[in-house]
Amino acid sequence: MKKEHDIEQYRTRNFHPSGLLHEEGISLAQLIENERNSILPSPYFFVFYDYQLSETLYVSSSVEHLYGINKHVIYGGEEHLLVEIILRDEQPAVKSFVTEVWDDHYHRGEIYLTDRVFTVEYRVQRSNGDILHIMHQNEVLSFTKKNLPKITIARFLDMSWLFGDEKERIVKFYMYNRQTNKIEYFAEKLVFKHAPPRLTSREDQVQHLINHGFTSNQIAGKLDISVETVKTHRKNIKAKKADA
Amino acid sequence: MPDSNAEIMEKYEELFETGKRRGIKDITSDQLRELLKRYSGGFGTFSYTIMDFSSAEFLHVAEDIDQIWGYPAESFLEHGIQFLFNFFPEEHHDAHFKISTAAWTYGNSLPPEKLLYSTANFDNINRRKNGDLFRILTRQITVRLDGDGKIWLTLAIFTDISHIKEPEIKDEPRLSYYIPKTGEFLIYNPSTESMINLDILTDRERDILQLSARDKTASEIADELYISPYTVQTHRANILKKTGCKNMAELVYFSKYHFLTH
Repeated sequence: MKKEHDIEQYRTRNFHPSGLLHEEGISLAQLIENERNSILPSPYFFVFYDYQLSETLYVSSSVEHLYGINKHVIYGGEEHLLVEIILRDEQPAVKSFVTEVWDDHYHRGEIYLTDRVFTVEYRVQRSNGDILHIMHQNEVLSFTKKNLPKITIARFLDMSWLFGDEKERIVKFYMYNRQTNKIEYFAEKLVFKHAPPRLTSREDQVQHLINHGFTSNQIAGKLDISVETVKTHRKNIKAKKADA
Repeated sequence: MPDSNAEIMEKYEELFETGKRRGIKDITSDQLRELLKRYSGGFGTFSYTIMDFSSAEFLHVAEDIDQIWGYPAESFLEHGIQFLFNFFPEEHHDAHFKISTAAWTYGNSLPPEKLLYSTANFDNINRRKNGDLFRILTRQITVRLDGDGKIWLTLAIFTDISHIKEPEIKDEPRLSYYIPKTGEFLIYNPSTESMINLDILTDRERDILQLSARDKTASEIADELYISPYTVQTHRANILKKTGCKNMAELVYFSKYHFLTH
């Protein structure tokens, strides 16, 4: 885990800002302060990332409230947790779609531009089973002297209040230009037409162990429940799979 | 949520103070526009106004407001706040009136220190001048209170979010309410016509709400969670008490509506 004082030092260092607009440097501490003051319509958390060093610089503590993940775990290099929380049914589709679209923008040089907000929308499932509709924004906030992305921010907004029970699941990706005040790119991909019945968190655990080749007896031991219960879970899982 | 937007609000405060001295219409708002450009979300094309609820007039309308509905700023200044109601499809008039009332009533029920800078977020379908339907996210931030500590001036930010969610007329308007001072986030429940804060539910209560939303009976839930049916009933009673719903049906409707369950 990164030591707190390392982070503090890093935070007060000045970075070359979005070179096209400003001349003076800006500290990470200032960027964080600015970010806290955004006006957003939903609870959210944000992560500052050094694009050149591939390192997480700052995670706002609301990550615990929204995702139930301790921010120090993210600092400790477990950034993948933020991806793994994406709903299992749609995770592969989201990943391949985002890679595809992002590469496209990369080749067009658009991620090297200032004031572009890239957004991808997907759903995540917390450990307590709640499903959140997440709007995940990425933006470059400062550049190196050679105009390569330096500090980037990812914002994770819980926009569940805006969405109802969806029949179709569509992952969306769009780019907003702060200068022109317009959406300049939009892409979407259908993940599935009818939502398959979802496993409960306990059934999910059981399924996971089944996938790893454990027997009902072993699963009962591992989860500290009776074999009969495991069998019930297996039965329910099977019924749900058959439905889908 | 510990992240607060106190500082930007101080900046607004300064702006409005300056505005008051100069007559607030003079905030031609290069400053305000710059602030909003950077900090108001990046969801889509937006514009904004400052609304005075004591006179039902616009104190300020951004020049680029025509990008949202197709009408110039002058039309808004001339007709006052009522002008906004022209944009709602007729089918939504009742529902919109209800959520506006809920936001207004809830906001004004808050103590002044919570009300100041609290934000009502509306999700609506509107019609442009050319007849096209589009989806609009409206954020109403209370920036000034009157002498009684009630809503006076709001900064209203309008964002076209048709790309985020299809503008379908069958979708009812939605409302959420954010209080930066405490981090409270509430969602409107159409069946009770009031605001609910789901954060006050315990994890166990949320489990039970989720299972109920899947139309499980108390005894089925009891089986699934390995607790007694009486415990389920107790949890349900507590959930209802906390959310102000009369029965589980009202609450389940709300959870499905906002996709809090699966």
